[in-house]
Amino acid sequence: MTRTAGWRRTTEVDEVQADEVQAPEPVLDLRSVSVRYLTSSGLNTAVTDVSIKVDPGEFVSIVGRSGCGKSTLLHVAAGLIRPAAGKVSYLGQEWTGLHPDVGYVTQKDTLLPWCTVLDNIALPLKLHGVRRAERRGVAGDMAVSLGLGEYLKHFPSQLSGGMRQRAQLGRTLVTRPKLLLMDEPFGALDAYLRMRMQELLVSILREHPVSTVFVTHDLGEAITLSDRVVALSGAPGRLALDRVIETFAQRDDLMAIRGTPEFSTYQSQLWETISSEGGQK
Amino acid sequence: MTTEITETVEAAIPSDTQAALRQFGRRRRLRRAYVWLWRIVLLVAVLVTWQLSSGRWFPAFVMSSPTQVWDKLTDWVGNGYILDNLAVTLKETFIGFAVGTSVGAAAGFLIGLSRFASDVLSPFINALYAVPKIMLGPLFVVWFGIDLTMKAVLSGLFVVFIVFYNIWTGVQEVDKDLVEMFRVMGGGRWAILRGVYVPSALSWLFNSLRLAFPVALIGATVGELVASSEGLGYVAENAATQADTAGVFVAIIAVTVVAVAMDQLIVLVQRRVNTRSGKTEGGRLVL
Repeated sequence: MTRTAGWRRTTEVDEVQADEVQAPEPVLDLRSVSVRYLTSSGLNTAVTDVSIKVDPGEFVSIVGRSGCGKSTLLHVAAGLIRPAAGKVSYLGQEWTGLHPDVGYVTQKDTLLPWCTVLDNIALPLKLHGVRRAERRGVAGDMAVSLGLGEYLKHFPSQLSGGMRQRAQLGRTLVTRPKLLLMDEPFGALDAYLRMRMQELLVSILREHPVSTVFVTHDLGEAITLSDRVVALSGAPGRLALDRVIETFAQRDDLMAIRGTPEFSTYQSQLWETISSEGGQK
Repeated sequence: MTTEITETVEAAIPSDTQAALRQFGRRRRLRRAYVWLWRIVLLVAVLVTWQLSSGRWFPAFVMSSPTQVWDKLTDWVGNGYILDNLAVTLKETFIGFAVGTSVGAAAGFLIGLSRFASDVLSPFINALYAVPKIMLGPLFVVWFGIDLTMKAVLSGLFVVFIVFYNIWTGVQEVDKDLVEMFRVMGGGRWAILRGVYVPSALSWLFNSLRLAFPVALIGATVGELVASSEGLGYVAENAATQADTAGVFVAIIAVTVVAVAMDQLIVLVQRRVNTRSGKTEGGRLVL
């Protein structure tokens, strides 16, 4: 995919797609997706006509204000919600429902409180019928690579928030998914832990490369981690921009990135878009 | 592993901090000793007041003195009367407790899984729960006679609703995010049931057991009060008809001791299970 710096407004998306005929098959392809909910007050539209492609190995962040449908879109990508309109494809195949190659991490702690760290990380392998000895070996290796090697027999209640989030990440990556969906995974952590977890995520994805869709409120987090940032605005949420972040390809020092003029430019551009579109100020 | 961590943590603490910790430990032990001292003082004060008032402010047949209760207790323990009847009550209680817990847990779990079944059955279950169980005693005498079955059924009936409501609530309030996570990871219906619903329901079960055992004991003794020729309820009633309040107190003390002992046993098991599943206080680690 040819990435060009600058804004890609929704009106430009079709033109860009025309240049992508020779591009590799996207891991995730959301085409004109709309989501509607039936509530007591009637039919509510959460997201309307959103198209997003995620290429192999690409890290895409979705940002936007509360209620713009970021998490809803991720639910669609995970196969947990069927869109009212539009199509979802994984690696070129149209798909409805849950896909076995998709891993999903939420902000909420969903580790099983009655299972140890090792058993929690090994859980998806167990559900896929992997034998006990094998799955414990694989899960143990994953835990070690996440710095949890000393805490294999600990229960989630004995771990800090950051460690629990690492265990969740390990549980998601242990099956080697082709697409990783992360819904504000570090939203509940303090600033220090959040930065540590961002650094860990970068190094983990370097070790286990996987296409990632990352939902966050934090514009700085999106800019420092992503190859592309997609912004939704308004209610119902619409695709407001699709921005390639090409300056920070290495991402060795996330703190240093935040001090660069490019970072400030990206941040102010994103801020301007989010605050100016969608009606709410 | 916990011991290793504790040792490592202790080794890393500076000596002045260790001294402060020792002082804190001493203060805590001293406070605990004071609490026990005041408990004993209170108990002795009540017993002395009771001893002095019996036969002076109240006639002895209305309120036997603690020494009379003690004499009666040693007498009945010596001749095996209280222990034989205690065994009968315990048998009725344990059967009622076991059956009531099993039926309540199974019904709560199965009905809780189905929103439709819950909606259909809840008014009937609520109506049954509202029936004063004691009033069913005479009916059970007609149905089951005055033997063990009647008391066990009454005891089980007291238990079944407590366990049912706890498990029912536990299943309905299961963390939906855990269920969703299981689905995303490829878990089927059976895996979700075993992996999320059963463990969640078990934690509610333990909480309900602490409430259920004393209630099972009440059910059994109420059954014995309604119609029986043995058991602690019978002992209390028989002693009361002979104006032997010391005997009534001995029966009450026996029931209380059993209830407290069983409560402590359940707490102990619960603590063990919680320790195994990591639900312990302290030992929290930081990143």
